[in-house]
Amino acid sequence: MNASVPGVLEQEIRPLPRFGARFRAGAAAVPGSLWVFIAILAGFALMALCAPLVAPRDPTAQNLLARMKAPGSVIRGVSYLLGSDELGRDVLSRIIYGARASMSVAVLAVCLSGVIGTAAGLLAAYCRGWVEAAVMRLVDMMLSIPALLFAVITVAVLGPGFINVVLVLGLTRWTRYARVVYGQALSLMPQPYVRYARFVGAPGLSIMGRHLLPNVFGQIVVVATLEFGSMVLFEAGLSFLGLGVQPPTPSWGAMMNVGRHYLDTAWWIAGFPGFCLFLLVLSVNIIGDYLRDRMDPRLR
Amino acid sequence: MSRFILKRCWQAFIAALGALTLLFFVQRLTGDPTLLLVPEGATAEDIAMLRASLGFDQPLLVQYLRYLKDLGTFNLGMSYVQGVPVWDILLSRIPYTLQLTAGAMLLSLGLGLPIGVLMALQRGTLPERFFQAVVFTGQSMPTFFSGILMILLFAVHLRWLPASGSDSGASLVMPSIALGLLTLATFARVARTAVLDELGKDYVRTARAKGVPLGRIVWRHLARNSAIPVITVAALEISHLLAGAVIVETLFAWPGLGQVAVQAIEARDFPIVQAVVLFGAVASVGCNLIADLLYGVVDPRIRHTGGAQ
Amino acid sequence: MRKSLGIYLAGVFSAILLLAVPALAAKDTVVIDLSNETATCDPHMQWNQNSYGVYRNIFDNLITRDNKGMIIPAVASSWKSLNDTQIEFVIRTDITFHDGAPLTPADVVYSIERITDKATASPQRSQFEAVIKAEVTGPDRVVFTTAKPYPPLLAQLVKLSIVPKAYVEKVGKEAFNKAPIGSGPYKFVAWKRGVHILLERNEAYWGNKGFFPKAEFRFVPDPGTRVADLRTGKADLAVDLNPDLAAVIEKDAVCEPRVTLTERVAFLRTNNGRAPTSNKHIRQAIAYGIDKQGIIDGLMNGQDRIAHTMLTKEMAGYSELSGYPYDPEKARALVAQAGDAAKEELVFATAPSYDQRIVQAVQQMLSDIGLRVRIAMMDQASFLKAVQQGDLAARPHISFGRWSCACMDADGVVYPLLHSGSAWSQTRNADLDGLLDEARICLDPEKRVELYAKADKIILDESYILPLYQVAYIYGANKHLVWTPTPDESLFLNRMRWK
Repeated sequence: MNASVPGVLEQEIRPLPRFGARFRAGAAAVPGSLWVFIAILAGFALMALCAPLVAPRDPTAQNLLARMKAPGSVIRGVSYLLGSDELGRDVLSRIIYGARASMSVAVLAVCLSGVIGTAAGLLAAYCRGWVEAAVMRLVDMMLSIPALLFAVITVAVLGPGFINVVLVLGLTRWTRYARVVYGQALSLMPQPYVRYARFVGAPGLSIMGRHLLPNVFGQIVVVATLEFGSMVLFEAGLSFLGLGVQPPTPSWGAMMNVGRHYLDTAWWIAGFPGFCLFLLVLSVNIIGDYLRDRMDPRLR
Repeated sequence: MSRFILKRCWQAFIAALGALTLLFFVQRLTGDPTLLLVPEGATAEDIAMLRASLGFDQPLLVQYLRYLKDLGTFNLGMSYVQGVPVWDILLSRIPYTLQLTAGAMLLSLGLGLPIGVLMALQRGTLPERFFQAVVFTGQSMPTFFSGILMILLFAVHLRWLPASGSDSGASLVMPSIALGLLTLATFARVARTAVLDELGKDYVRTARAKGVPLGRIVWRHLARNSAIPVITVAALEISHLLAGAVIVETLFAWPGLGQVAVQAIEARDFPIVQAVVLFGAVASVGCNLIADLLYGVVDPRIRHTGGAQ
Repeated sequence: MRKSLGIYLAGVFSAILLLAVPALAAKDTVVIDLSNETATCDPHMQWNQNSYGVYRNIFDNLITRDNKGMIIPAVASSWKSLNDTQIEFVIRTDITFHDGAPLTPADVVYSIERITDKATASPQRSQFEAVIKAEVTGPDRVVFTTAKPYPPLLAQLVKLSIVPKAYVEKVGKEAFNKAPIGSGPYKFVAWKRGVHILLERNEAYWGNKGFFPKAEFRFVPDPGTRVADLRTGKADLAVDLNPDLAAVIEKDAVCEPRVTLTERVAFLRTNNGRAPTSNKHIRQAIAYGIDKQGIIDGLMNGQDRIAHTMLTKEMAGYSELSGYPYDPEKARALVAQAGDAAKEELVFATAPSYDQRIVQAVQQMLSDIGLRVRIAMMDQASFLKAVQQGDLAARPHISFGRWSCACMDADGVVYPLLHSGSAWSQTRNADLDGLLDEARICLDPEKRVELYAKADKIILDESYILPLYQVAYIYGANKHLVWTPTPDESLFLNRMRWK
């Protein structure tokens, strides 16, 4: 992917064209069906951002007299378009607010793990020696602890809650970035422009930031996209164990976990958030998959 | 070769020791099991006495050194809650974990690989789209949710399979599917990429130009040449499945290591958690080592000289 | 190519399906789904439902309770008080352990001493430590001595399982745990770790023999899965369902919910040593602001009973008092009266084992009266630590709880929850302590009721603790299973039969 720079010295020193430029060039080639999923993703994001404007009601307002009403029910002049849940809250409003919790957990966790993993990977590749050994052993160590177990233990220490879930996800899932970045950066180290930068005495931070990072960024984006989906699922999994985002804040995972007991009597409590979560993860995975294919020179 | 294995083992030992140490201290930050063990209304004196009898009144460092010493003699300790040796618990759970892992791998490898190959060969056609949809669907559902849907459909309404338990082969079907779906997608993906990669190579093009049927090319060359990425992923996934099937095991009441680990974390039964993590670490090292050695078998060009990744 | 692939896929599928050999359901076995693995079958090492539900079938207790909760003879055929601190039991002579050895008074003495001996480190010690001496006084006589008069003694001794001295001493604690021998209506057969415990009927049982030749206790952590087991006939009885799950099986053809009121009372513990819940007005506002009946009707299908004090009708020491009515207006006025103190965020601690619908409903009701409440969910161990350890000022303001001393006696409830000397108490009131200390050693039942009524009055006036409702315990059972759930949450197999 990065081996096609002509032999002019000036061009050799400059980093390769950035991912953004290539992405813009590639946007025109995005197949039509993909736009559907991009639109779904954008729709959910918009829904999450504008939740207070879009939601018909307070997602936490309970009405114990209007529990588990079917979609379309109207109770005392209040209509429940997607039904009401086990505490008589409006499922539609909770889904809209739930988009907020579910997506922001995933976004923040992806950012956190991405930053940690990228930094670790770059450091290992650039410094080599004991730093490399330490980072790689740390990665081995993290990989040898099952992620969900580690998360359960950490949540037991920190207590569940939005921030702690982000922390737990961020601290357990960085190894994938570290490995990808490390491998990629290692292959860049012998590149002429990196060697030149080292030769003229550019500080390490600048080499990592200006020469290595831009060239591994595409890979990071691909991993991040696919990780985003996993994070959403992981949060749902934590919710199953009662350790996800805490009530009354709605998250899709938590809604599904509570609603699963009612699938036979009130399917809409878990059904709608389940469908939304499915659509979200599906869209992100398909987009990520497409990006991965694009990034992989073998598959062009 | 043996130097390579030694080095890998040494690295793995360091990683496992690090993991166990980290867990030892993090877990003890969460308190101890005494309060869970006493009945409601126990006096402060009784609580303190029980705590002392479990050794929690000792300084943390002393507890840690004692743990290391026991570990050195393969003594995993006693369960605080059940009062039986942790070895007994571990050994009784491992067979179930292996069964579930085997079931999930059978499904994900058995279906994932051919689907991936098919997707590569039929690139851009309707069958590819179909399989893609299947794979993506499996990948986009939380395990607990697909599990519950299966329980409702196959156990409660159709009565084909038992909802829980481990007393017959039928009990294994749903947990294997729930667990295998995610991995299936990964394998399909890896197989597809590997095959596409190989398809673009000169020898395949030559063979096809010569009129060799595609099917034969696939089985002759592709299978062998695509094996390496598949083995890599398989090793990683097996080690994940072995100790990471927490949700599936809880849902289907499958008595594997994941279930016992989560229950032990909740009950602060530290020795069990440590033992499961130890097993997970050993399993992951073992799988990766086997994968490394398999590379050499599959592709004799790969020689382990100590520097291999 | 495509054809061979098809055959291959079919092969994989059939390989998976071949594993699916259906299990033969034996009708002579009653199958019970517990909510977690039994901790131990050694009756002196753990007291929780998933454990005693099993081991109380293997062992006989000194005395027991009938389905209505009355104390009735078991190993002891009769008993009488010798004086304020001594009680004599007559031990049946026709009981044998499963290994054929006779049950003797020495086994009874050994059983209680094993628990109270500090070296055993039994978690249950606090239930029996009032007994300072136990001695054999005749071929069928045992005398227990307490340090002080101790009214709940009999209620506590209901929980004393009798183990065979000779066997336990011979094989040791660990082996006894693995292969327990008792004298109960069922014998221990096998324990497949993580899977099930199997028992078989004791054909030589001295009392009421079991109906089922065999029993299987399974460990199924997820309540939804327990319900699925009931509906598919895989399990005949399942413990611990919530009212909404009960509603799922209400219409089912195979199974039905079985509900009983327990002696357990759900409550809110207000931290009386930390601002602002140290303020009486705030505590009273909370009491006025919670619609207990609304919770019971709205969320619990009306099955639970409203609680005004921490004591239930069935308990020794109970007297009827009326608590705070639901009055949100008054609550808001009290919050306003408290002024700035009420603006502080209140931490509301809870754990996954409690009904989260109720926790959320309470939070909503408290916000409605103008308090700011944040739910802090912790796992059970962290929760217990948070509400029970450390300085009062660092513990949560409000915590949810459900209390049962499993002894049907006021002392087991009020003393640990409200006496300043108890680790579980967040209340410091010298007058209250005095009353509780006096009631604890008072053998005159009427005087005791009076003392507890006075104590309850103080608790109510100060609103030290907020009782919510007497908990209804919901089991799910196959419609053919004849069995009545009991208030003490026991699972006696010899009181079950098939219709």
